[in-house]
Amino acid sequence: MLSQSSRLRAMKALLYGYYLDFKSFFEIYFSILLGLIISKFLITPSASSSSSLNSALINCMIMLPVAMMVITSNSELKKKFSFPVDRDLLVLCHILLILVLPLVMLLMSCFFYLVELLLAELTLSVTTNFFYSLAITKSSFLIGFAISYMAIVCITALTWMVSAWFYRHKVPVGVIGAAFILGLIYLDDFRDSVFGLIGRLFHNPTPGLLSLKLAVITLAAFALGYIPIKRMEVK
Amino acid sequence: MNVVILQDLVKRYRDKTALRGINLELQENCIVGLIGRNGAGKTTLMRTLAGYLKPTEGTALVFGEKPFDNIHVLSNIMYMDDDRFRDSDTLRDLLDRAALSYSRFDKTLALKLLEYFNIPVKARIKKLSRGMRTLFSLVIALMSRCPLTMLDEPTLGLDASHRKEFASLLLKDYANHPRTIIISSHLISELENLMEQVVLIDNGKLVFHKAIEDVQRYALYLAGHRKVLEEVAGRHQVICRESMGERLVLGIVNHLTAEELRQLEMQGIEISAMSVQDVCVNLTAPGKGGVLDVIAK
Repeated sequence: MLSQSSRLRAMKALLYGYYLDFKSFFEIYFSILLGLIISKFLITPSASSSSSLNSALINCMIMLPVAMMVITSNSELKKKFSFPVDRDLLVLCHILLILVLPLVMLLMSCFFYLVELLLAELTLSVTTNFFYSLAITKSSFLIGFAISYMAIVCITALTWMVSAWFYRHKVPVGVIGAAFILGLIYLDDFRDSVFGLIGRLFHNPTPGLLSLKLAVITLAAFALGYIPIKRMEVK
Repeated sequence: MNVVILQDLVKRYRDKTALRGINLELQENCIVGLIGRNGAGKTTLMRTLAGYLKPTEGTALVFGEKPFDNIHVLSNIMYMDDDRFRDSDTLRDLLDRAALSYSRFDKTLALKLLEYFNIPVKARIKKLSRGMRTLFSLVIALMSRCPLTMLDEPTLGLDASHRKEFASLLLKDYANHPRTIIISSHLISELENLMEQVVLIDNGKLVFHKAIEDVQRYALYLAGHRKVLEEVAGRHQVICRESMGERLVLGIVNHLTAEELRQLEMQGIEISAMSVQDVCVNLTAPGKGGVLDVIAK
């Protein structure tokens, strides 16, 4: 009983700590989306109904892996142990973050999608020198939301897992990761072979099958990331 | 009841052995000074007790359980070191986290103390001076009222008046809320009045664990003519020696009888008690001369 109340207290304190940490993270995300949407309407005379969703997706794909690398860094882990916490709780909180952060980010991007729609309608009503394409239907939006969410969660979980294994070797892993991304951008053969591999893995899937594959990979990443954190010493 | 039990505790890092078979028992409700030179293993010992590190060999028990990854034990431990909080954290947020984490945390008194020390709670850690950071950490550590509170260099960066106030605060709070407090510090003379027990470690090994009164009586300085003292040195354990011409100063373990002391005084030998700090320094001397010998060579 005593142990349960200690665990609950520690969980509350840890979640409160992460809430404080991620407040500024969301402020940055909000500012980026707002900046993008405003610049789009100011600079270009056209808009697509999915532009805010696309930019949000790209932002998620960049910001969440970086956040995972930060929360698994040695100094951050050390600070978390300033208050009582065990490794199971830490992993549980990280998993909650991996599940909740993309959801909040996607919901924010949906809000911006509505703002974008509204701005486009307003612009159309006052000028004819504006082009707007509305390509998203309700069902494609829902499926897209679900698949995007699962894909972002999966990528975030994979980054977390790799960061957890190499939490004391962030620099070499960062260099290898950066080299991989640069390879994807500049080396056509490399890009084709990587995308070919991913394509084979997700070959001709239905949304359900794709979700299942993403969920399995995510769960595997959670399990593999738990191992190094469970035996980690705070140095 | 024993709060801490260490049995043959060994902690090895990749290229260094920090603790070499420590056996120690600490009872509840006492203030223990953990003394040792830099690199003696004090911080490793406290970090092992705080559940940060896993023993390589042997056992470390706190409240009868292994502390590593044990939330029940960790909820009753406070470990304060100089690198505890992130620079971007605000004091108010940290106070809130402490109140959430520790069931006995006295937030009202903590706020009063911060106001007394002129530490603004809205400030971020990075805006505080070295001394203010230490004071803030001390307030959090003492107000958590954990049954095992460990303070690693608690006076780092504090000026003389704040060190005095820290001592008063600690004693008053300890009197109101007795618990086991382990203090690791180099300022032994200033903290001597706080300690009830002393644990001296050197090079990862336990030198002794004694009550402060025993340490205060542990050794004597004898100063006088070389001829007389050389004879005394042959019969007693000498822990330090300094000669100035025909005059010799000996530090010996105090096994002298009242009669022997009387006779030495009659022979013109000056006798004085060795301070706790000197006892600790002399017992952990590296045995390769002093720094002046290095310069002389």
